[in-house]
Amino acid sequence: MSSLIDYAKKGIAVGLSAGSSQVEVVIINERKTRLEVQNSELRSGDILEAGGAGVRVYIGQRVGLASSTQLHELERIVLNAYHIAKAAPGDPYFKSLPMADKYPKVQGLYEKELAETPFENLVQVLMDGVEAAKLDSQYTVEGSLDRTINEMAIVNSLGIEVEARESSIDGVIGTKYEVGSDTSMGHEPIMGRSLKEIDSKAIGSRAAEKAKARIGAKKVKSGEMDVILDHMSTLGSISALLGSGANGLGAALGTAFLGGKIGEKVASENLNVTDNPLVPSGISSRTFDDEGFPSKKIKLLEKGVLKSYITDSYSAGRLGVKNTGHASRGSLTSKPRPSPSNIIVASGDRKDLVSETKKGILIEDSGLHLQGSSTNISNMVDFGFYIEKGEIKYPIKNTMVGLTVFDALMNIDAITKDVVNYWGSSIPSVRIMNTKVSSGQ
Amino acid sequence: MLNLGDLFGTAEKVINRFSLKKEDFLDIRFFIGEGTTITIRNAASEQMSSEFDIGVGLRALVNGAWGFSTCKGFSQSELYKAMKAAIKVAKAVSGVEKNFVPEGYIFEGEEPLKIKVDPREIALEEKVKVAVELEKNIAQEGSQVKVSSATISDMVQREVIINSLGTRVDVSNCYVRLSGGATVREGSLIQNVSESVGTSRGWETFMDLNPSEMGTKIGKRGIALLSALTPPGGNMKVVMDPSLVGVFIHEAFGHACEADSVLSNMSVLSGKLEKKVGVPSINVIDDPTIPGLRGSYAYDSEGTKTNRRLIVDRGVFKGYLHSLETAAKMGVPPNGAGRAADFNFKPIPRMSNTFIDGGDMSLEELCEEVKTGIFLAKSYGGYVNPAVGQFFFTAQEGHLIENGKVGSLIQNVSMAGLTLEVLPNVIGVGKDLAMDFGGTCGKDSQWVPVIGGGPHIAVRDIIVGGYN
Repeated sequence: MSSLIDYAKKGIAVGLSAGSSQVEVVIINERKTRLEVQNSELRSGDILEAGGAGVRVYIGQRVGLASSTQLHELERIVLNAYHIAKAAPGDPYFKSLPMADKYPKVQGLYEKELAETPFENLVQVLMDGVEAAKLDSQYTVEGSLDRTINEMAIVNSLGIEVEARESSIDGVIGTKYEVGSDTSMGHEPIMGRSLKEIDSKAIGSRAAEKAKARIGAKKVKSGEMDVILDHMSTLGSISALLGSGANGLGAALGTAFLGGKIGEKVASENLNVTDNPLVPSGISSRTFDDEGFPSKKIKLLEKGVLKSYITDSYSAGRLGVKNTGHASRGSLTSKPRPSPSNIIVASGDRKDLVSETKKGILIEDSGLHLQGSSTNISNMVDFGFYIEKGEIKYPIKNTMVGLTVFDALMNIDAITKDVVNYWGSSIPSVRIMNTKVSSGQ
Repeated sequence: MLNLGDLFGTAEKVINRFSLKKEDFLDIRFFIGEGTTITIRNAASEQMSSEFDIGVGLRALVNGAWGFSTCKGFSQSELYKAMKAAIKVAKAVSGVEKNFVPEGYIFEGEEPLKIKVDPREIALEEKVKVAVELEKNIAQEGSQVKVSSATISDMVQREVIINSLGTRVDVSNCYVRLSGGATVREGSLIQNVSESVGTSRGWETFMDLNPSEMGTKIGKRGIALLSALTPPGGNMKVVMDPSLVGVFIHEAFGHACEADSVLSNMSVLSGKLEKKVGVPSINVIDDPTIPGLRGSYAYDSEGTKTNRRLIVDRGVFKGYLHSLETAAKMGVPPNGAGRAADFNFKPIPRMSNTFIDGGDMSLEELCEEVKTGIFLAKSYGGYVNPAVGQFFFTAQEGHLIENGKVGSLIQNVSMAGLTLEVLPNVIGVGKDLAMDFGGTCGKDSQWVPVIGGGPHIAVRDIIVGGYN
């Protein structure tokens, strides 16, 4: 492992000698094993060798980035980034790459058993799930399973020298259920940091149950009604809304809809949300972010009041606030941007939202997503049910919800007492009042 | 081109070291990708990067199952080790289902870059100049433009493909793209607009383009949306512009035509060959052979020579998009749709340039036909569930259609529908065919350049997801 840091430091030296003012080198070694199931049968297996080196060079306020899959070409990558920076217009808002700080400890990010488990065991895990999902001939099952072993080092010229080793397993079991010409789908994710977290038979059964419950979907009559987000949809919705609305970069640019609202009430007072990258074994957990800066837990909403933005070094510097350590890099060539990690939504006081809802829809496994930074939300309901007089009446299709981002946060009038833990995130189910629902009728 | 030695010879030596049964199959695909991306945002550089990706993807079809491995080195010993790993994995996953590829389709050819100006020979400063010009003109349209951005990117890719049947193909492609976007804000209302130009031509693409005009247009469109009406919701008649038709035919219909989803029983178009799927005025084509379009290529990532695919002929469904494997299983010739994003991925059936062919109506006639409804324009992406046939996509802007005429401007809004209900519900096909949905399509984590389009089209019973 330390050889990665030593190697990265050679790149730093090359960049500084060339005349760069600041240099960052990221090295990733990734080994991935992937399995694929189609038509209920194991179809293929992959052994992949990924990663490479990514370099970010600053000459004053001018930035250049370069990457390659070929690690041995580090010197060339650094010089390439340097030449690009020379041609770049400066960014007057850039202050500095981050500096080293004290790092937290997070347990459970690497499990030897998962990293070393033979290929045949992974096949068994996936096929147990597939078998459980194929209850009879009306079901078709597809699925995938990835085991990823990742070693990463981040070094910069301001003293950051960090490295990490992680293991994870992720995939999905999807079922298609057919009755005559009618079809429905159910999906369940397979995700964790260790093999013992994965109960693939239970995952497969849930996927099958979901598909069966969604058969016979109908269009509903358009109108205004309540929208209940199940636990998974709440996770997707809150991550999207706060990941965009409280995004430090967006706030700096003036495009985050919650920009300038720290200390203001922006959501229902029922809503308390934190972002915690330090949850043991969390799938988004880490000790440092993608710039090598220490990760920390932050409070985002307290009784509906915005408490913090999600920042990285650039946005924190530009906003004049603390770096929360949420830099996330899409690829080795990309500049990092702030992004949420494990989202924790505090539980509420309701036992069951469906029985308390006169007229509405229940959205499952999807949630609200944003179109760019637009304040309008206009979403298709991928999977949902119509509710009348406190009861689920039937599954729905060809249905959309339309509201604004402000309504989505302010109109949450009920939150369940029970929460579900999703690989580090902890989430209740919520209800949004009086939402426009459009459908085929 | 890089001098990488005799790749064909090296790969053949590796393949020949393995003794194969008649139905077994091996292929080796060398990949070299070089590109730059420059993004100017609010007059400063947001991203200036270069990418250099080299690697090899190796497939083994043994005992009826697929194994796939990758390596980053091109030496015979590295390739041998990686192929051994692929074979080992294939044997480990071999089960009841037997996969196979067709015999008799052996391709040999070389397709060098057919571009006038290689973007790798253009100075970075010149690329920056184009992006700066575009960004500057977006920004100067008004103080409501909070973010103005322009991205110029180029990527030159070379794939050298050798398989155990005898295919030997060396194909290069160049993709360039210029895109601009604005985020505009007035009080708490935020809107996004964007436009892009993408081709498989070289730097000459930008020599024919005026970035200032493009920027001004983007900025003006954004600012206009700040005084637009909030979008309506409900079941409506809709006129889609070529960009929305492009995203519809790509997302809602095209993905269901990919034969892997059909064979895995995850497509609503399973069993639809020679069946009526639309009104007689609908013809759908996927054609990677049109020179210069963003989704064009000569050979796919399996080395198959590609060709024009007629998907719907006068409303009747005619055929799927195939890789070698899906063609063999369906007993038809492969049609060169097996594309891979890079060496880290296996080729799978993908679209290229997908469009609905032109009809005979003007935009005015389509609006008259609709009478009351909505005109949606400028796609902002979307997605589909091909197994159920439910699709969703977003328009950056729209107009109300009132009394058969295009009326007031409305803010961004999305629409949804059921794939098999749309083409039968078409009530008019325009004559103004344009390719206007250029981008990068994602499937199974693989992103490949594509474009979609068509003429303006009027459809009834579309769900519009506004809140008025």
